[in-house]
Amino acid sequence: MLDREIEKHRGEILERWIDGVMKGYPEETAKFLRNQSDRFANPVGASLREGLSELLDGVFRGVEPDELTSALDRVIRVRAVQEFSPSAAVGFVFDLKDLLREVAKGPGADASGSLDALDDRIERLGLHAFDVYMSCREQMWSIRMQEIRNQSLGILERMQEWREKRAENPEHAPRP
Amino acid sequence: MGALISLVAVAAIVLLASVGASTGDGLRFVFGVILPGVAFAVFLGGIIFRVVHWAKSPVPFRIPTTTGQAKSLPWIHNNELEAPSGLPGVIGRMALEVLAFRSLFRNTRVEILPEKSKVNYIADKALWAAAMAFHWAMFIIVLRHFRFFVEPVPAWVEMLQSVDGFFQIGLPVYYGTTFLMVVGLAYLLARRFFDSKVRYISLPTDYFALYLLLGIALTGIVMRHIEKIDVVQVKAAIVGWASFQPAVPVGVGLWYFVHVTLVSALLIYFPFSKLLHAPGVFLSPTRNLANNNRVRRHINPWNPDIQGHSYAEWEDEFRDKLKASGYALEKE
Amino acid sequence: MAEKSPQELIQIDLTPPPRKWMNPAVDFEARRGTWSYPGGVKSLDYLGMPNVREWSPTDADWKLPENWQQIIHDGFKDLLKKYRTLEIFMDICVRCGACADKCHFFIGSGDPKNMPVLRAELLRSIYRKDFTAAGKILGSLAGARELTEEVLKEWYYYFFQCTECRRCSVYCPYGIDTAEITMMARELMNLVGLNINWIMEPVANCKRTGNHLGIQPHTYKDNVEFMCDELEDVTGIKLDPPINRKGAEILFVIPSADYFADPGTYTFVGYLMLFEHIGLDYTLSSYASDGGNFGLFNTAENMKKLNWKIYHEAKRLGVKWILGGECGHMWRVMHQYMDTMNGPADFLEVPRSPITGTVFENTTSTKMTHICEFTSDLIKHNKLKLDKSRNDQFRVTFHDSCNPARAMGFLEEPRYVIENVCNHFYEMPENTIREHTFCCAGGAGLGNDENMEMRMRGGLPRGNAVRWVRDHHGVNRLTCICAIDRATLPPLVEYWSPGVDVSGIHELVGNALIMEGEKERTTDIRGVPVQPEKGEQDDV
Repeated sequence: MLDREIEKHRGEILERWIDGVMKGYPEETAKFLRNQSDRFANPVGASLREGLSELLDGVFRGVEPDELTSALDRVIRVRAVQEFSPSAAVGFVFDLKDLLREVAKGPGADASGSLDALDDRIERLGLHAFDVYMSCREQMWSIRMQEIRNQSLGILERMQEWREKRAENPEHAPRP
Repeated sequence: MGALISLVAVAAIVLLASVGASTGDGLRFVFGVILPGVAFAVFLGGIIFRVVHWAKSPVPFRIPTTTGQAKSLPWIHNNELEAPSGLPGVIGRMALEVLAFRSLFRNTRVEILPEKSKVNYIADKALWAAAMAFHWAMFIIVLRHFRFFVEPVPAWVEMLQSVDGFFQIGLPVYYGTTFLMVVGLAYLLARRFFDSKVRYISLPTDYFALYLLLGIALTGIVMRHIEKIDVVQVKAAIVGWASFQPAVPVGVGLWYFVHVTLVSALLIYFPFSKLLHAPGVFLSPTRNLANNNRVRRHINPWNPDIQGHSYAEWEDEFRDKLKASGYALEKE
Repeated sequence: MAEKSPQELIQIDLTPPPRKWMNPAVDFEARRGTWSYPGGVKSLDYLGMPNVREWSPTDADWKLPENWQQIIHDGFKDLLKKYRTLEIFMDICVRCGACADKCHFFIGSGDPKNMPVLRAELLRSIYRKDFTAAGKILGSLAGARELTEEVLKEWYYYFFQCTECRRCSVYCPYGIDTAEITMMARELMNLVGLNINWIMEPVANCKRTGNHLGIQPHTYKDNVEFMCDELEDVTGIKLDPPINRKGAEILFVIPSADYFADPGTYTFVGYLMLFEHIGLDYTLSSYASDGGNFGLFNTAENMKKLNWKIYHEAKRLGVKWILGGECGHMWRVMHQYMDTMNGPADFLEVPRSPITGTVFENTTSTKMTHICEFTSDLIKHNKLKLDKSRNDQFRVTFHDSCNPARAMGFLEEPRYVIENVCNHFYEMPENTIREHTFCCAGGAGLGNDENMEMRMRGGLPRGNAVRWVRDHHGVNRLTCICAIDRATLPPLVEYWSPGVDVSGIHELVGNALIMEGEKERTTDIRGVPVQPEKGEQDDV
């Protein structure tokens, strides 16, 4: 089975996938993302590594995209607030198609059937990636709206009610 | 690109010295006597000028960066070396900074051992180690060079030499510091080439200083271990120079002139460059001030004579509202 | 392959052409979400700032004054004469790169110009050109550049992308402090009318009303009464805190967000409960109604003016000493600037706790004590009746706010209080707390909504560490001693580590205090029902 053939190369595929994604950053940053192994000093690198690793396994095992939401989220949540266009932020998923093809080109492997199946999984994962991206962006906007609202209204709304109550109830009249 | 330009510049200096040394006594006098003299004067004068200039500029606010617990309540253990409450602490903090590069030592890296669910902190200290190796080695090497300047050789220099020469691999004795200096410099240079982050921030002048220093170290090694130059002649030349009875150095060879010219270039370059970090670190206000801000008032010599919006102005503006809410007022 | 697949095209699209940092270019239009709106004309006019005008960073023409280069050159010269820090920090950086990966904005954004060394080089390159022999002669070889409009725009972008948190200065072998450099750059930009509204409007408000939010004295009083009424529902005790009361022993100064925005309001009632509990003789002030000071993020002159009211009000009210609430940048000003700028406070007495008799020896000159110093002393002397279990529904971690940690050395006091008012306290990883603490990414005037994307990027390192303790210790409460944190951490954790709430420390103190005559507490002071403790989660 080609699947298994390809799976043997999991390590290589993952590293190349990660490398490809990191190339999207300026060179001087990519090196830091790749080499700094401290997950607290380098949260971007850590979430890329962990997220992509989980996604790759998911693709091999044929896991439904829905179940990979959290892994997608790990990667995309970061990219959704960085300087990427939407297509660039989720495009990394589709990189996997070419990568698998290159690896499958190895000796004596004609496996278009198998690859087609993987392609299909990757494409569905890619579509789901857009959902995740949008939800991150929407969340950021809602956070922003919420903040504007809190700043201008928040406590004022609660106080308005309190004032009305105070006006009705002499016990709560303003003290001198 | 910057790396190349600087390399060319240092190569030019080397070439100039070689040509000068092999042209004749006139230029030998220039490169062996006048240039070092001028360089030394520029170095000393430049540094004094810079330091005096810095020292004269005011420190309007006391802004130490605290890197540990300050002195507060008596039962809270404070860290005098990281947040000094007075002069002794500051001296200790500066000593650690200058002698042991404390801040560079702060780099840590976390390693997570998933199987143990444990977090480990690993020192990430290559930069610190290289910096320490280079600076300390250079310092000791400079001290060792005192043997060329005074006769008889002081006992402390002899002692330094014998400790340093402990790493003996044949004759003449190899000094440990020579090795450390070259390795340290090589690492510092390699970072600028291969760490893309550091390469990005590097300026041509950053390479220039490293090339100069490396050149100095390597020509020194050539003289001592390859060419095995006549130390007696060298000493005669230097003692003469240092006692203001200069003569054209004889019998010291080409490498001597290259070495001395590179050193001269470094000395001249020093007061106009980032090499000023050496005296500068002592004057850095985030490190050399005590964190006793709330105990002793710090004086700003140019503290502008300005006031804020006074209570009276404030009361005037909001008088009606203040009255309506039942505030007590200064003026009714 | 001759043809490029779509994936390859994306890659090419992504990778920026190699560009040396010295070429400036910021596309403000394309980078919305990462910069702040310029200062509003009304505020700037009120403050009498120079070169006031309507403009936007997205405009091609920023309507700079004709001689703007001269103005900046002269201003730079002036600052060099006034600040040794500026001279030294311009001269001695060796570009060793120790700071490069320490900035939360670099870590989260990957933008190389967010490396502290390069942020400083933006200014340093101009310094070399204008003020050093090497720069004048060698030009770009010595790292010098001409001050062009593009460079100025880059300043605006990157110096309003620094939160002045001082993390980089911890690792710098020469103590070069980017906060100081950013402050200088902002002073310079201010001369040609470049500043941001999130700083300038609060500064204008603060001058006029005494606080950043522009709350006038009658509203101030209303707010305080309102919060006390809400608290009465929880505790059954009616508090009546004194405002502008002459002859009180202590003037209590707080950041204005504490009486205007959640969750700071709960910290505020926590303070009030504490004072009631110990019977403290104190007063609030609706004139000195903000200890916070956005002048710190604008110019030294404005900082001094805004801070001036603190001692002025203490004198007018005739108090003996000043107590300050939980706030980060306010405490940087109180600790490192107030006495120098507006002292000596020789009309005040050395702070002495009227309850324990402890003299605060570390505040003998400034005469201002931090509430956490005050409270930890009370706890140490057993003066508080506390029921820690009332905070059992919280699994707490503590975010060291930048200024108390790196400008005061204020690390143990808050921890001591936390450990005495709750049972479940977990530290975040070592290299993300104490002097290594990561900023909330909204300090120094950057906590505005238009800058939200940048805040999220810069907030990643902090959010990531919070997430770690959330996942490993079940942490659900992130405490801090900073009003800006209380405003900026909630969106940060909502995005990076949902399920964690933010609060000040004295909110937890308020929860734990057993007040005389109180009714049985069925809720915490937020009015949230106290849940019975779920089974202990395994600590890992």
